[in-house]
Amino acid sequence: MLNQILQEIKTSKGPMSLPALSHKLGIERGALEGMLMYWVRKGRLKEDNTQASVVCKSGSCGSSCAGIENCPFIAQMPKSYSLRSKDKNNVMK
Amino acid sequence: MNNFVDLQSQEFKIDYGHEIEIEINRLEDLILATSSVNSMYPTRWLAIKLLETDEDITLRLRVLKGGDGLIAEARNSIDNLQKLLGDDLDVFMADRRYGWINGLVREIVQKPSISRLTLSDQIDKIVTNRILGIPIFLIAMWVVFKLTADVSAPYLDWVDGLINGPILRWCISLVNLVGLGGTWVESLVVDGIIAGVGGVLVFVPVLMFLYIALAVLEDSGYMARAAFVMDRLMHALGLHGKSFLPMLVGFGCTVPAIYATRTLENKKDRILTGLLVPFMSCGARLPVYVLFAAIFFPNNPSAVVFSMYLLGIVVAILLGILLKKTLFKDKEQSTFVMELPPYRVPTFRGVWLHTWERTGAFVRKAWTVIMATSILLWLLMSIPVSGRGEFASVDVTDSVFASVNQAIAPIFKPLGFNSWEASGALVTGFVAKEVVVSTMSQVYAVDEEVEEAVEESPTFFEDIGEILSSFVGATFDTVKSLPLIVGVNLFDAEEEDETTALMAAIQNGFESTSKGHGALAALAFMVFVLIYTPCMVAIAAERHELGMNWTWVSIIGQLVLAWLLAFIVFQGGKLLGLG
Repeated sequence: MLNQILQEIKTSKGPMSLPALSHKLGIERGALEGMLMYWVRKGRLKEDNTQASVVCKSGSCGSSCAGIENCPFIAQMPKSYSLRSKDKNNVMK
Repeated sequence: MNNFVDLQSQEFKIDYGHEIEIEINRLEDLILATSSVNSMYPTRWLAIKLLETDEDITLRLRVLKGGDGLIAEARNSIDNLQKLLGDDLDVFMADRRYGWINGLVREIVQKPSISRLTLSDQIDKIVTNRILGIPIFLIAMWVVFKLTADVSAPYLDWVDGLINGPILRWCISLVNLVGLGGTWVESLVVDGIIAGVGGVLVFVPVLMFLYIALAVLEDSGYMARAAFVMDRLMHALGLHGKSFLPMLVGFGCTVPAIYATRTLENKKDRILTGLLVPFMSCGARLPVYVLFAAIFFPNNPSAVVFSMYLLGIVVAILLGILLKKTLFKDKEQSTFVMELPPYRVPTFRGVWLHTWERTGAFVRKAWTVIMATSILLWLLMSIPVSGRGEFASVDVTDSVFASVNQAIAPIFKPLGFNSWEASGALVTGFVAKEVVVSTMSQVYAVDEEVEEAVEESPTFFEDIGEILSSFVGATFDTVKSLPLIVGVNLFDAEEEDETTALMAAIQNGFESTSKGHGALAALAFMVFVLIYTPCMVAIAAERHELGMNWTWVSIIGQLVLAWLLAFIVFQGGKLLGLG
C-alpha cells in the first residue's frame, strides 16, 4: 500500500489532488495523509509549501515590502508532495 | 484477516507476515533472556522497534547491560529480512500496519450509502475537470478584469478629480502662502510631485478592486484549484507541473514570484520558471493597461486588459515549451499530489485585510520610489539643454530628459510610438512599472488642467463638500457599474464621454507617431510594457536566484521579444487593415 502511493505518483500523467488519489487507491483520506507524511519523514517524498517564509529570503523585496509575515503578494498555496529526485527512477525495487 | 484479538487480555497483534514474525519471536526470546531490559518494555513492542531501527530505543538500549547485543542481533535480523523481502524492512512493516488499519476501518466503519463526496469534492469534480477546468479559470479571470477595469472607473474618476482639483489648489495656495509662487518650487510641486505621484495614485481604486477580487478567490479556496488546473496544463505541455504556482504569485509581484521558484527541486526547472515568471503581468503594469485601454478602446477596456494578461500567459507557455525542448531538455517529468483546501465563504474581514495590506504596499511604493523618480524626472525635465530656456521654466521638449530620449525614440519607429515621451516613459519604467504612468502624466504635462484648477478657487469648505458629495456620487456609480460584468450598461452615452486633457494629449501623441494608427500603436505599446524587462528590484531578485549570466539572458531576451511582438502587433495590424 505504501509503495502503491509512490508508484502512483511516479506513473501519474499529471498533478493529482489528494481526494483523487484517495479515491483511486481506495485509501481513506486521513490514512493517505498519514502515509504521505511517512514518506516525507523517510525522505522519499518532498513536502512543498509556497509561503512567505520559504519564498522570501531576506524579508525585503523593495520599497513596498511588508515583511515576511505580512507579505501581501504570496498566495497561500496548499501543500503538495512530490518525489525526491533520486527516487524518481527507483520507486519499486 | 489473520490477526488475533484477545478480548480478555485486551491485546492485539498485527501479523507482519511469516518471515518477520519468525524474527520477532527470535528477538522476543533474546529480550526475555536479558534481565536489564525485559522488565522495562513489552517484549513484542521492543522487538518491533528494534527491527524498525527506532533511534530513540537504540539510544536507550545502548546504556543498558546487554543492550548492544540485542541491537546487533536485530541488525542481523534486518539484513536477513531485507534480502528476503527486497525492500526496506521498516517500510514493509509500516505498510502492513496501514493495511491492517485500512482493512479494519472498512470492516467496522459504516458510511451512508449516498455519495461520500463532500460539497467541496462535488464542486471540484467540475472545477478541476480536465475539460472544464481551464474555461472556468478563464471565466473567473474575465470577471476579475471586468470588475477591475469597468466597475472601479467611477472611483478612479473621483480620485483624479480630487488630485487635480482640491489637492492641486491647496498645494498651489500653500506654495503661494510661503511666497514661493511662480518659482521652481511651485513647478516641482505641481509638475513633479503631484503630476508624477498623483498620476499613479489615481489608479489606487483600480488596484484595490483587483485585490478585492483576488482576495475573494483566495479566501474561497478557488486559487488552489486554479493553480492545480494550470499545473496540469503545464505538465501536459511538457513543462514542470509546479511551474504555475510561482507564476500565480507573479500576477501580484514578480519579485516574490522569482523567489517562489525555490519550491522546484530541479535546478533546470527553477531557472526555466524564473525566466518565464516575468511574463506574468504584475499589478504594477495594470495602471498602464487601464489608462491606454480607456483612451484607445473606450468601448471595451476590460477585454483589452484581459487580453494583455492572457497574452502574458500564452507567451510564457510557448516560450517555456520552446526552451524545454532546446536549452532545458530534461527527460524527467515529475508529478505531484496537492492538498486542496475545502471551499469556504470568504469573510468580509479576511477580504478587507488582504485588500488593505496590498493596497497599502502600493501606496507606500508611490510615496517612496515613485516620488523619488518623479522628482528626478522633474529635474531632468527642468534642466535646459543647449542653453535654451531657464531652469524649471524651460519648454519640456528642450529639456535634458527630452534630448536623451529623442536619441532612443527612433528604435520604436517600426512599432508606431517613436516619440521621446513614450520612449522616456519606457526607460523610467525600469525603476517601477507604475512610473510609466507617472512619467506620462509629467511629460504630457497639460497646463489647461492646472489653469482650470486655479481659476475655480472655491473655499476650503466648499472643496470638502464637493469631495464628499462626489464620493457619494462615485459610490452610486460604482454600484451602477456592477451589471457591466455581465455586459449590461446602465450609463448614458453622455455620462461615459469623459476624456481628460491628459488622455487627449496621449491620444494625439500616438496618432501622430503612428500616422493615424493610434489604437494599434497603443496596443503595441501595451504589449511592449507587458513583455519588456521588469523593474530593477525584480532584476536584482533574478540575479540572486538565477545568477548573473541568466539574468543578462533574461534582460536581453525580454527586450528583444518585446520589440518583436510589438512590431508584429503594429505592422501586422496595419497589413490586416485593423486599428
